[in-house]
Amino acid sequence: MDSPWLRFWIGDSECAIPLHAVAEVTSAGIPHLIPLVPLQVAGILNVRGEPLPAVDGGVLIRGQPGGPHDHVLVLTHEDARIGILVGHVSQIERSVPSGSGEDETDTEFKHVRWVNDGDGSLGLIDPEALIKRAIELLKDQRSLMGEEPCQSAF
Amino acid sequence: MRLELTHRFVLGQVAVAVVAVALARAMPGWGIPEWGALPLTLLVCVALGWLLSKRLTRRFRDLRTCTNRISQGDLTAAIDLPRGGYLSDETVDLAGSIQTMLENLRELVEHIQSAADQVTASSLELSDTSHAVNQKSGEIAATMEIVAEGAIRQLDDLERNSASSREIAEAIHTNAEAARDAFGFVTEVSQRAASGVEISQRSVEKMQALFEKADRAGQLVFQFDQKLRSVHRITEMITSVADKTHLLSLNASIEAARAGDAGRGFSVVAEEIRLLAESAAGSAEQIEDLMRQLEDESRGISEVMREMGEGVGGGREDIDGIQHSLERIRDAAQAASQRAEEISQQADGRVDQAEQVVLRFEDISKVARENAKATDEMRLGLSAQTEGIEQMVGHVSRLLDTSTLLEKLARRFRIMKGSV
Repeated sequence: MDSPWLRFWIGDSECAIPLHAVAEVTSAGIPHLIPLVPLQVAGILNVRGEPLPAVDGGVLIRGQPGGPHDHVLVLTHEDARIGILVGHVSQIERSVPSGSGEDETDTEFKHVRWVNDGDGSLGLIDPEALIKRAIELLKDQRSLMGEEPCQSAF
Repeated sequence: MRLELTHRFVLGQVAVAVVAVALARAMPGWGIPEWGALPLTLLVCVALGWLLSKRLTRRFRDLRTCTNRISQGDLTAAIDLPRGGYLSDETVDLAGSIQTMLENLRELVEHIQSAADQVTASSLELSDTSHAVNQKSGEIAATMEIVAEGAIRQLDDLERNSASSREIAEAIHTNAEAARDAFGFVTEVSQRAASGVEISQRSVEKMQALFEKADRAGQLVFQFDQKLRSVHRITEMITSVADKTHLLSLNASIEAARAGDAGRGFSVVAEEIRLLAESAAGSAEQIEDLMRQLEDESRGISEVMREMGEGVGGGREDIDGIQHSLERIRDAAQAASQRAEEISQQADGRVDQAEQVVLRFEDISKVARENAKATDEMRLGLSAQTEGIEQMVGHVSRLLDTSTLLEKLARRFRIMKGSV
């Protein structure tokens, strides 16, 4: 794969996502509350006047909040547009991260594939699966909090 | 008229011879034979001689009776001296001498009896008195023993007291020396306290100047901290610009990547911008680190200056307190110096008094020693006196026996009728 990748941090974990899936990188502002969704999981951001649902990247790849957020990766898939709250977006790499060794794929988090990258592991993220997981997470959270699933904004 | 016995005897013999001659001439006339006349004449002569000798020795018999009674202690016997009409002779002289001797003897016996009575009574009284004296002498001897023991104990006590007073005097002397040392020490302390007050006053002036400089330094540090905050805001702004530039370069790179080959040049520019933003961010971060260090140090300095300011406030009070304390110490040291001087002088006086006490104790001990010696000598003398009294009691007892015997002997003489 010759498509460039974007490397970023979620908490203590370094991840990479194909650059073509990223529509924009913005600074993480203060998220607003989505009804029936905890702010630790997701919130609404104001990106140049447009509301953007944003989900905590740590919840998506580890199942727990990923710490302080510096940036937001704006991902698009078909008509869906969603933000992923990450720590710091570090750089763009022109080639696939040269991961080696055994790949680790958690059955619960199939959208992340962990490979060895030099000093540590690197999480290679499947953007489509990540977006789907984010949307499901938002729906699950709302249903858990007592509201029937709906298609509303997502 | 006096007629000696010899004359009387001669006259008797003459009378007998006359009678014999007369009878020898008359007998024949009376018809008496011659052979009968001689014996008759002899008979008459013998009878006449017997009568005359009887008459001649009658006074001797009376005197013998009288002397016999005198020899038997009867001094009441009376001697009938010849009255007028009788011729005086040696018997009258003898009777007068015996009479005189009897009267003298009676008077003597009377005196002896009286004296014997008095001696006996006096001997009895003397015996009683000597017994009482002996008893008292024993009691006095026992008392004197106690007095002697008491004198010895008193002497021991006095010698111990003398030794104790000597030790006390030495202790007082030591205390006096200590008081003198203390006086010197306190005087030195007082001088040093006065010097300390002067030094503290100079130190206070220096500390006040230092406190003013510390206040000025505190103000400068505060101003420096304010300026650091301004620089910090500027670096925050730079960091923010760098972050935004970084994001801008990222988004430009994303757009360039989406543009494919057409966006390749733009991606290079975006990359340079990203590197520039990272460089700016790195510089801003270094500046931020330096600012944090400066802020930390400034904060530490401010904290130190704040503490110093608090300390300065407290220090001023402490310095004032120290100065006041030193002044009080100086005053107290001066007062202590005066008091120590008084104590030293009093201690010197006490030393003299203690030495006088020691001398007096030694004098008293000397007197007590002499008293003990005199008491011992008195005890010995009293013991000898007791022995003398006991001997005197023996003598008095023998005197009483003698006087009793004398009285008994004197009672053997009757000096008046009816007396035994």
